[in-house]
Amino acid sequence: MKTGGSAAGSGVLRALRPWLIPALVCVGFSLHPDFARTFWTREYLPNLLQQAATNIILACGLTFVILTGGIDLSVGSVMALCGVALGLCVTQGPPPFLALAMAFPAGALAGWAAARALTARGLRPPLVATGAGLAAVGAAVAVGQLLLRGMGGGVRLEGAILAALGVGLACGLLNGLVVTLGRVPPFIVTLGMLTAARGLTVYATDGNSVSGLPPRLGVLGQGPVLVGIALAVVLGAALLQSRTGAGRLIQAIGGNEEAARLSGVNVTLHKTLAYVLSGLGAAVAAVVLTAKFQLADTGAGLGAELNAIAAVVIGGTSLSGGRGSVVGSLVGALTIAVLNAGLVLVGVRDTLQGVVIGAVIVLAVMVDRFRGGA
Amino acid sequence: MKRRELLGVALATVGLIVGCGKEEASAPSGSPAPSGTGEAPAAPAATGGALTQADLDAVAKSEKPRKLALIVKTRNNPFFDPMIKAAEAEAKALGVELEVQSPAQETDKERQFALVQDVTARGVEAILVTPADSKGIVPALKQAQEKGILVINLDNRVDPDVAKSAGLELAAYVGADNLEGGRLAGQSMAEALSSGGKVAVLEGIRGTDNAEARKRGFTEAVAGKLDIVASDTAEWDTQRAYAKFQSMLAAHPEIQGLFCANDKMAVGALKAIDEAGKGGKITVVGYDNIPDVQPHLKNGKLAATIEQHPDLMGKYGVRAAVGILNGSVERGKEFLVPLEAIRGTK
Repeated sequence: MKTGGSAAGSGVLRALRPWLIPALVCVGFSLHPDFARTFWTREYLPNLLQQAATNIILACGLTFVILTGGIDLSVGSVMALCGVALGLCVTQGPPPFLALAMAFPAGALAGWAAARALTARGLRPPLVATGAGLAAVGAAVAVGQLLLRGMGGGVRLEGAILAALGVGLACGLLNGLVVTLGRVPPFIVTLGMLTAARGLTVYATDGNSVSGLPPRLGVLGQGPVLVGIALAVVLGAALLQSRTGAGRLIQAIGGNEEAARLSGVNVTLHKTLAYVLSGLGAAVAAVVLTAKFQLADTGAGLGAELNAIAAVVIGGTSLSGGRGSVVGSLVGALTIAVLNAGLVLVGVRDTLQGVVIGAVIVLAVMVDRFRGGA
Repeated sequence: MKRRELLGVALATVGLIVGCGKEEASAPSGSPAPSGTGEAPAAPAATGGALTQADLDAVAKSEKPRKLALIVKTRNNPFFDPMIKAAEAEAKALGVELEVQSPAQETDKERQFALVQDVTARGVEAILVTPADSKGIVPALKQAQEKGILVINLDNRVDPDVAKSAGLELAAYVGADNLEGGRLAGQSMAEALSSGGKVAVLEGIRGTDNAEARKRGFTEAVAGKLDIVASDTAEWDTQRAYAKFQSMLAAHPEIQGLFCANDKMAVGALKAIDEAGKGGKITVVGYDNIPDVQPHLKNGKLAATIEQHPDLMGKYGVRAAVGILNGSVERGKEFLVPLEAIRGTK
């Protein structure tokens, strides 16, 4: 966060810094005539953004978690779960697990409010707050079930999209609360969520993907709308990260959690917020992915978390937290997309592509670290 | 510094959005790209009749150098390996170039979609594809068609309704007839249990085209000869087949025969049979002839399996592509590869 008194030119260099690696990749590929001929065309470039869109969205949310020094392995599974929630809501009516997903944030909110009120009166809150939270969960599940039963058939598309976002939010919130209040390492918590969300996806659908979605959903998954959604997410996340207090505090926690705590930062709140943002990112990605294929696929996003992590790390965000940016993650996701596409465009054998991509990811991070240290 | 970063992103991406917008705007207004040279416009999606093996065997070596692409679901499935090898060999024999592309995972539909876009950009003359998602892949294939690329569908069918509404016209379909395969399996079972008996079925994922057709074919072939006392899905999966057949066997200890709609499920069911101490006493028929069941065919625990000849799909897919490009094969038709019942030895 040094903004020292160096020359104005250094600021420009810094701004351009995350673009160095993709620029190198692009220049390198462009030496090949097939790539130069096909890639830099008005026809192809939009394809690239569309191909990268889901990874860009996942990486944006994930950036916040990694900035706190945590990790979220669950984004791929949560994406599948949100997609299925959307699909089931539209086609058959809300699935029962949705009531739970709705109840959980309500309970957490009630617990938090109770704790707040109690601390203000100088009491020790944990027990009462938990009780209030649990009561709220119970009430919300009951209300939710009644509501769901009342709705009967499929709900409107807009409602279904909101439900998907709600599921993402709930998963993120659960991750965040277990990490902060439960003091379980993020790797374990989100590994558990990875398994559980995938399990719930299969449970809710018996493993059958949900098709028969309304055609107007498809608009969100293609062309300029898809790209626009991805870029809106980037813009929103970037502003949140660099222009708001919450964004700065999330980063500060990653830099030095103890120092942040001692200087009065509400670490629990802001860390949890980071996981919620990651869950929301997964939900938005689920909406566009489901729209793109007109299918809520139970196998969606298998391994997607690894691509998203790679994007964040290539983008210069430190896995130990405190350093990095959403914009970097956009660049990282674009780099991976260029690599994936470039290898096909220049005609590298499909069996070798994985080897090259793996090597470049590691090299990219190495280059970044050397520059960072210098 | 932060402001500059954001500005940079905004500038860089505005350019790309503009690119998108233009592409989108020009696509519908422009007339459908001429895909070939002055031929009849109609031809519905690959149901315009059948191609015969003779039609395809007659395809001559290409006079011009041509580039084709084969995009399979994944290489991590033994089904696709013979398809790829046969297609490569046939391309060589016909004097054309074939590039193979594959997602690392069978479930990675997004990657397959991107691969279609990438080989389209690279400029091939025909794309042969086994869709991982028979509906979702359509927009990418439509893009290819608009650039004048032939789209040839192998194995798993592109959804005809979605293709039709998108204006995608398949140049050819080459695959296997699952109904016929189911019948062959049923015949094998009826022959093995010639004095009649009670049989069970482990189905594939319900609602999918191939699963339903195999079950229907089997049911037709055994009607009046054998009793189907239980039928349930194990979703193509070895583990589930193992568990499902354990409970089926508990409920119906009299079962004498079992049809599994793929060999992976047969492997699971055979394990359940062995553990129940009924090894060799129940006639099992599988489907696909994968390497994993070869030992079971040898020791007679698997009575028969159906070979779908993915190698022939690869071979005749390439021949169809070259034939259409040469002008000797008509567009919009389909070719069903011959199926074969492979008997176990005992």
